[in-house]
Amino acid sequence: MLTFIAIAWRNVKRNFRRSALTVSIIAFGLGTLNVSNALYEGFHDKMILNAVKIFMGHIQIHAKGFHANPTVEKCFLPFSTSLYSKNPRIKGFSDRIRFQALASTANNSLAVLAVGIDPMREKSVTILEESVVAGSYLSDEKEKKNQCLVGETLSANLRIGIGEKVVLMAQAWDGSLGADAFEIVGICRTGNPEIDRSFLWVPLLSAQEMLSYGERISETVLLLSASSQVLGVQESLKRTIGKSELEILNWKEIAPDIVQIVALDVAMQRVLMLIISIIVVLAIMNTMLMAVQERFMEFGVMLTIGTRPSQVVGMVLAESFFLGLFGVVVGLIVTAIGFTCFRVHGVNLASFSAGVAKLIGLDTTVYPLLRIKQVCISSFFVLASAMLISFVPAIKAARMDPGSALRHI
Amino acid sequence: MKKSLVITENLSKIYEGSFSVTGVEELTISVPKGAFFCLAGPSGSGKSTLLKLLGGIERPSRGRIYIEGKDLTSMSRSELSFFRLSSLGFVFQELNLISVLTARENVEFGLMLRKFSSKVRREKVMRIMEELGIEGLAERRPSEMSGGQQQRVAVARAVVGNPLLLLADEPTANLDSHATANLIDLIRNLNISKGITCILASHDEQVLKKADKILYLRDGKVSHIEQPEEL
Repeated sequence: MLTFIAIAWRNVKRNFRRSALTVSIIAFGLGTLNVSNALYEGFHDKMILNAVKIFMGHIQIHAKGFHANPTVEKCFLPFSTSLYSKNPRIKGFSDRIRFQALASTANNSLAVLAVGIDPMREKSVTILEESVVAGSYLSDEKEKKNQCLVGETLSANLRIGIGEKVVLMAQAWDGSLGADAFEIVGICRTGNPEIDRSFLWVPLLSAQEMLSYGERISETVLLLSASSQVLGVQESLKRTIGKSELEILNWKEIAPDIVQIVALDVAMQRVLMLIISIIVVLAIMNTMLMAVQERFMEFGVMLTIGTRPSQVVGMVLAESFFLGLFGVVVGLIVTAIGFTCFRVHGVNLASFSAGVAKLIGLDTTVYPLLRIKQVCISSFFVLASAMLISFVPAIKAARMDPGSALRHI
Repeated sequence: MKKSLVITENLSKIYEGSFSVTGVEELTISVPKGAFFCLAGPSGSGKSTLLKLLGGIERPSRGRIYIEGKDLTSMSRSELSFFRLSSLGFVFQELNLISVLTARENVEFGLMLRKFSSKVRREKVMRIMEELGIEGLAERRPSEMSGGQQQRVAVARAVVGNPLLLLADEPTANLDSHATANLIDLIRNLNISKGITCILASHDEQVLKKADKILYLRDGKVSHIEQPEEL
């Protein structure tokens, strides 16, 4: 078999230009596939991370039914902080009260989504502090409990600025009307248009007081060390808390639209993989059919002097294997170059579409994320496609009737 | 009288297609062991077809072919392939050699298919190349050799495994008269020294002069048989 492998290798070298062109097509295809996969992965990662870090967190604990219908009476007493702080997989946690309120200023009144937060703990979960573009973040001091942060668009709609007052009115837990006045200390730009247009943050203590909540809260938000730990932590919390009146949801359950976008992208990735594979397969098949056709008489001579058809098949497959292997190796180099370029400079998706900010949030620059497993699968897929399709010319060569081949001599 | 190595009985080959073409028709011949046998006749007379039938490269439409008592017509494709490998040697008009292999590797190719050890292969190849005076070409590729040199390498490949029968289809067609004489002398010497039965298709008088017997074909049938002295 070594002789046939040697013949195959020499044939690859003999038609250097054609082999180089085939290798280039495979390499370009594989490189494009890997880099686009890496950009998709980076995009998904960024989108999920932004969504998680702007507001959502990895896991949220609510009173049952709060996620579907967030009303003020759906609240619960927070658990001891040790439940979260002792779990090494939980990076940060924060208690919140979410409620709908009417925000009134001297100039305007608007319905808003108010969020009562623990200013210190919130920093360990979200990037709210970093999103303050004017003024300052909420103070942790109890005497400064009537401060608030507003979304940038909301502040413009209410026509208020730093230092001005806003009055919040909302239905309290006991059915009464709760109201309080807050001084605007900061304006936030999260990058998420919905949040920037309708969110307003106040200290947790003020919200509890205003809504007659006592020590109750409406949600606890958890940020984990890694997204991959979500299911494990969720299950462990369900086991530990075990209360049927609570719901413990992960980010996929909270924001199924993100899951759908990722699923759609994965489907697009597969279509792209299929298209590139077809191009690679056609390039290989074209090359191998030409190689077989132009060596019609040579195969005839080989079969005449006693070469077995299986040996001819092996030889043609070996040629494809060499082309595929070189294509994959060069493709990996192309991948590395493309990946490095995009890793250094990133791709600012906002420059393609302003609406992308709504999808991925604060930071619109996407950096590729290369998954070795994905690269291995793509490489194997390309190589296997090349080998598989080569059976067509290989069998054509092996089934060749030596008599008809020699009739050309 | 010498024992026959090749016997055909009522051998016919008809190429079916839009038009049926008769390659050979009802041929019954016998070639003795060790003979230097030539097939002559105009183009389309059936020389090449007969050689391909004798070499098991094509299947006859009718009739039988026996080579050393073995019926080629009853062999399967793989049996034929093995028979060609072990018992026959072929030299064609041109494009005999595998273009990416050197002369030495081309000669060695058949032995490799027969699974000879590398040591035996090397010895046999060197011996035959020295015998044929082509040892200096050992590392040359076909594209680096003249037509005559390529044909000598093809002969070396055909006889290196000591075949029963050497079949050569117009081996001198593309050679000048000097190279033709050299090649025919070479094949004739192998025929005498090694006792290899040779059947050559040719209409070159230089070749025909060397034959023990010449079978003239016309329209797939034997028109007449001549001895070289009669030429």
